[in-house]
Parts: sequence; structure tokens; C-alpha cells
Amino acid sequence: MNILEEEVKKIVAKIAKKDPSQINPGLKIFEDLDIDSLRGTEMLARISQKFKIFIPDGKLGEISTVGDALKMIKKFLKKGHKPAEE
Amino acid sequence: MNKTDSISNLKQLIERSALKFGDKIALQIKRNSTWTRYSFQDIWERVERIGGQLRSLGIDKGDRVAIISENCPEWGIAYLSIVSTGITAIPIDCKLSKEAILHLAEFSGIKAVFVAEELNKFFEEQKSLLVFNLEKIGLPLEDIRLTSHLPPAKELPEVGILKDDVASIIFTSGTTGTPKGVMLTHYNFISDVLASLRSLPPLSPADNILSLLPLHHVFEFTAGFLFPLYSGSTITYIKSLQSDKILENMQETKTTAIAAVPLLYEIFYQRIVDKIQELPRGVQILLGIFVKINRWIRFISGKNMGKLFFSKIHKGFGGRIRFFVSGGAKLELKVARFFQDIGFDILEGYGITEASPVVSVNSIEGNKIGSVGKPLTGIQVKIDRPDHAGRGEIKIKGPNVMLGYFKNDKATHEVIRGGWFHTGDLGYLDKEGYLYITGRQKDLIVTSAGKNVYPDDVEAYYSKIPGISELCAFGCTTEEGEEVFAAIIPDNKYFAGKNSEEIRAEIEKLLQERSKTIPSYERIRNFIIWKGEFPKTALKKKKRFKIKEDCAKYFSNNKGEVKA
Repeated sequence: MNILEEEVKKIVAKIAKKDPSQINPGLKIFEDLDIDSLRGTEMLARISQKFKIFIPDGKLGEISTVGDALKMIKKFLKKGHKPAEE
Repeated sequence: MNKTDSISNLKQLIERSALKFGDKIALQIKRNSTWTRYSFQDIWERVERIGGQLRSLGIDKGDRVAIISENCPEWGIAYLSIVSTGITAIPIDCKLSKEAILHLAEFSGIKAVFVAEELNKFFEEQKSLLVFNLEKIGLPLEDIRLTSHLPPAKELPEVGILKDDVASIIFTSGTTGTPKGVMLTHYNFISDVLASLRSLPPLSPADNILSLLPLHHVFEFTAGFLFPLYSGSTITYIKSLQSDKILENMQETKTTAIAAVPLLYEIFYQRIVDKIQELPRGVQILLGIFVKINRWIRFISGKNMGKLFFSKIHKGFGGRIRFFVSGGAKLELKVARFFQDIGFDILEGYGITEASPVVSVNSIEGNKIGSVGKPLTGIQVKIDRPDHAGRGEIKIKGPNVMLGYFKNDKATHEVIRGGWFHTGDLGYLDKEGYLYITGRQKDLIVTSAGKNVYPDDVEAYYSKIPGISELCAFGCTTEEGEEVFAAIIPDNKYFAGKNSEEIRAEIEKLLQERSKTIPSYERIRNFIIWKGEFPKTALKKKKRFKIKEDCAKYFSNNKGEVKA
């Protein structure tokens, strides 16, 4: 497993109050992990902090699974997306 | 009228503030790294101009106009322009589906709508409505209309606004079925503002308030908009609710107070705890000692050394926080105590939309953690039919109580009886007069984020699923707070020849599919298969309480079926 996936699992686990070993890319963030929208924005905050990117709150609607979050982070990292005001 | 003293409507409130605070910044937001700012005088000028435009377009006292947008300064200016013209404002959640928005718009019979840019196109297609572009409010002398060209605004005779005129209709449920709109008058709001500000620490033009909750919620509207507007404080709106963005903003604007739901304080709490856990063990022990010292100093002398002992944490919040207000759901005791111990004042209150909304709130001098404070001056709170422990339904009487539900006298008479508003919430008053909330109205589900979920709405969402004969939704308390659970009677014909496990698995799939189109907090989290019929009243209404009680026993035993 790569470092990025490992770190994302840790963040999602923290927000969902679960053990990182229980998190896999197929899990649905809102349905399976019961993360609501405010906790979802906190997840984005922690991701942004960890990877020095900024994913706006509006992007939360495009994330369904943990795998989607991973893809989005990769996209933002590839773009070299700088932290910015939404 | 002496414009600096007695006020009885919202037009007088903004007129008074414009006279008193003039060029002081009232509302601000950072857009693309640039601040958009409005002074109290700017607001008043726009209120007069936009109010004139509304009347020129044939919208007048007694009509209704909606506002549908995320929080921004222009939301507040649009609202004040509407109500200062004697028109009733209908704040609608912009995150609702377009169908739900149209349903509420149609039910409330609006003549016009103020919308944010992203909804402009959708509303331009609604030919019967006048559509105003919220963003254009900021531009001087700009015609704010999005549709048709009509004569420009002209001088019109002043409209008399009575204190009992309806200022807002706030929908608390019924986005699919019959909507329940709470009619709040000008004086409902004014009385609640004046009474709340007597209990809370006084706000002044030196205060900077950060607005975080949506303005269509009456808690944010009264506490985050009207309180500072009356007091001459500056309100800042932000575009991201990510905690680090909130903290960055607090540091930049030197925020002095916020009003938020418990979940946000829980998020801040977790952030601080995580940071502390990263520190060396010795430092952690030292911080623990300082927590205890500060707790004792505060208890014995009332002095707060937290800002000194935990200056780094305070600086993280901008260093100028005077107090936090928490409402909308129950604040966890450990979170409240933690903030208190590190030198913040977190004041928990109780409110309900029908009471505009504040009923009680703690004060800094008499902050009793775990309680929701003492009732505000002028608001009577009684416990209806208390049990042996003094617990019963909370009922209230006062100038902040709503006029009634819009187009729903039956529902109004069910809750306002003998001059008292029956909240449906359970609680008790201690010997010193502090109010404690022990439970919620039997039907209402209040999530830990403070979202109100109405079982009728949940049932309406899921009722048309093939394979489900009948469904009863209710709240169950889990580790995450209150969540939506359901009892489901399957359609036997649909599932002919299948065993209970197969039926359960298929229903689970059907629910998941339907859930995709529903806000996450309204989704069914767990369910049981109900054998037989639901217990019902003589009027064939489901006995939700009984169903919930029976289900709770089975959930705790971890079984999946209940026999009637």
C-alpha cells in the first residue's frame, strides 16, 4: 500500500472514529462511515493540511467513497494546486 | 419615535444602527482575496433603494419574497430590504433540491425571489416570478432585476410596519409533504434580541462576529445577524467551513464571538486534543496541571488565567475571543468543561424556531455547565405536568412566541394552548431557575450537528419504494448522537417466495438506492422488519412512540424482527 493511501486512511479513520485498518477505498464516506457534511469539511481540512493543497468545501459533493477522495487528492497534487481561498 | 431607544420592528432596528454606527463596517466577506464590505449606512441606503424598487414593481406590504443563497452580506441586505417594505421574507435553504425549493415557493405564494448566481438560470425559467440577482446588490445604483425591464424605482409613500406584522416565514419541515412554516413577527425578533442581549455579555462596535451557520436557520439569523446588527458589531461571512479556514479567518478578523452548533466545538476540541497528544509527555503533564490550576482559580476567585496559561491555543482562535455560544443540540459535557478549563467561556442556550428562537442562555457570571441557562427576561418557562423528578414538557409564554404556522391553524392550535407554547421538549428547572433539557419532542430527531429531522419527511422520502408496504421513522440515540432508524413492513406480494434474510437484504439495497438522493442527515441508518400491522390510534395515526419503544428493545438485543 502506498503512503498516500495510508495517510488518507488515517485521516478518514480519525474523522469516522474508527481504526485505520477498518478503512478501505470501497467504503462510502457518508453512508458506510456515517460522516455528515460538517465532519466531511473537517476531513477536507485535515487532508488539505496534510498534503498542502486546498480542496474547496463544494468538492465534497463529488466524493462518494474513500477511493474518490484518494483520486481527488492525486488530481490536486498533480495540478500543483496551491492553497487558496475558496 | 426616539430612534436610539425604543424599537419595535426590524426597519427601525437597521435605521437606528445606521444613525448610531454610520460608516462602521457591518458586514464583510473575502472574495478572491479582496474584502467586500458594507457599513451600516451602506446597508440603510441599499435598503431604501431596493425597497423602493420592490414597491415600484408592484410588490407591497403583505406580499412574500424568498431569499435562496449561501451566507453572504447581500443575503442580509436583501432580507432587510424586504422586511423594511412590510413584505414578508421567506428564507429557503439553497441546498434543498430544486423540486423542494419550488414546492416551498409555490406553497408560500411568493411574488419574487432573491437568488445567488448559481440559481439565476433555474429561476429565469420560472416565468411567473420576478427574480433578483443577489450579487448585484453590492453594485451602486444597479438595477437588481434579472428579469424584464420595468420602470425604475421611484419615491413612494412610507409603509407603516406594525410590530405584529409577519417578518419571516421559516419552514421547519415539509419539503415533500405539507410544509410547516413558522410565522415570526417583527416584534418576535426584536423582543428576543433585546432580551438575549440582557443575558449575554454585551456586544459593541468593537466586536467581530464570525457567521458560520446558515442564515435561513433562525439561530444564526437572530444570534449571528440581528444581535451584532443591533450592537454595531462587524459580521464576517466565510466561504469554507473547514476548521483551519475558520481559524485563519478568526485570526485575520480578530473574532470576538461565534454562535455555533456543538459539533463545531467538538471539531475544535478534537483538533486541540490531537495537537496536545503530539507534544512530549512532560509537556502534556504540565498542561494537565495548568488545566487543574485554572479550574481551581476560576472556581474560587472567578478569575480566568486560561488566556495566560494557554496563550498559544487562544492565539489559534485569533487571541480576542470573548465568548462562544452553543445551541441547536446538546453540547457534550467534556467539551464544555475542556473549553472552560483552558480559559474560554462557552455559553450553552436553548431555543426553538417558534420562539424566534432564544428561550434561555447561560451568562458568563453564572455559567452552569450542563444547563441551558436561565430563561430570558420577559419569557416565562414552565414545566407542564412534571413527574416526581420535576421533569415534563417545557412550555413558554412571551413576546418571542410565533404568531402561528402559515396556513395551518390546526397545527397552531395543537401547540399554542391557553396562551402557552408547548415546545414538545422535555426538561426541568433547578432550584436556582436554570433550565435543563432531558429529551426532545417524541417525534423530532435532532442529530449531533443540530439538524432537525422530521420523521414525516423521512417517511415521505422512502414511502414510494416498491417492496415497502409501510414505514415508520424515529430517532434512536447511538454513540454518534441521535440518528434516524425505521421499522418497515415489507410488501408480501413483492417478496413472495423469499425468506426473511433475503427480504432484509433486498430492502437494505432499496433503501441505499433511495438514500443517494436524500441529505445524509435524513437517511435511515438502521431498520427492523416489522411483522404484522403497526399499532395505530383511533384516527389511524401510527403510534410512533410505541413502535419506537418496541424496536428499541429489539435493537438492543441485536435482532432484526419485531412481532406486533
